[in-house]
Amino acid sequence: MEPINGLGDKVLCQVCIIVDDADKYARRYSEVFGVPIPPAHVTDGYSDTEATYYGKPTEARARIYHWHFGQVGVELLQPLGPPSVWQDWLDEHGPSVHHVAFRVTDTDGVAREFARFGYPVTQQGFFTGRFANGGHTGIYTYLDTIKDLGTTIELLENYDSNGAPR
Amino acid sequence: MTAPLLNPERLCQVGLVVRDVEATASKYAAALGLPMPKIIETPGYAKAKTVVNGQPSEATAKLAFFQTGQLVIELIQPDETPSVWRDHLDKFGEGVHHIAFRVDDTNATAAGLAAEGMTVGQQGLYADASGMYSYVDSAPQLGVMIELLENFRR
Repeated sequence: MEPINGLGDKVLCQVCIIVDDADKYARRYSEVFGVPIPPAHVTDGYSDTEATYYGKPTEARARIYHWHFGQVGVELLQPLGPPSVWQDWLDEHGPSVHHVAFRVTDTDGVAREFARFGYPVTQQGFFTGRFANGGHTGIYTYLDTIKDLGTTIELLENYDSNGAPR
Repeated sequence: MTAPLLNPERLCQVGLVVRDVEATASKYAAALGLPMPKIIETPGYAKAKTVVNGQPSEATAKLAFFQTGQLVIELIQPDETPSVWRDHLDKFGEGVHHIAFRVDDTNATAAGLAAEGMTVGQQGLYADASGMYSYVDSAPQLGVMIELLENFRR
């Protein structure tokens, strides 16, 4: 099979650690890495994110802290109930690294490529927060790569205010 | 302001333990569209000076690396000898084992982390002895194990 196309610059841009108490872990990160604690970000429900979990709409939310460690995003994510791949992970594995992310400019195309290798989409949703014109700011996509790659790959795509990839 | 225990900008690696490094590396090569890397076998105690929980150890591993921007993805296939790698594989199965930071002074950094309750569980030299690694048991505090990587000055 031809290699998967579309990961673009192949730059790993984020590591996410799922935790059971984001506030508690954020304080430790702040102490150990000397970084200020940013405002916590709580993701929106379905009406804003249109998030799907194995193809079905989900209201599941998460509480998130995010820092830049150099060029790499480090995310602490606390699931706030089911159904989500985040809650599944916490329930099965406890606090630990859940995914690594790559930026893309064609989520559908890249997801199709991964599906060709047997890595379907498990959860997908628009970013929380919109442009003034109501447009979405981006979309995230989790791929079912755990069995082969040992972790989940996330695709991250940013939109401009016209909905075009940027 | 005092310097932090770890410089966040020196995050350099995410490491995973796997059962079959060649099989997993070929899957990564296909998924990322990168060439298949060379597999490196780490040496035993005589060369690596591996210490696990304070005791000399013959634990070895097969390694594969992919450069993906700032971070290197490291795949680790441990042998059966007890090690932080083997422990993780036995307890949790395949998955992300650590994230690594470059440091200039392993002992000073490790002492600072130890004062916060995060102690070194395994330490050793790189396969080519050009530097040393230290795994810090930080999972209870940070949700992930931290590795310190120090390249020796030439």
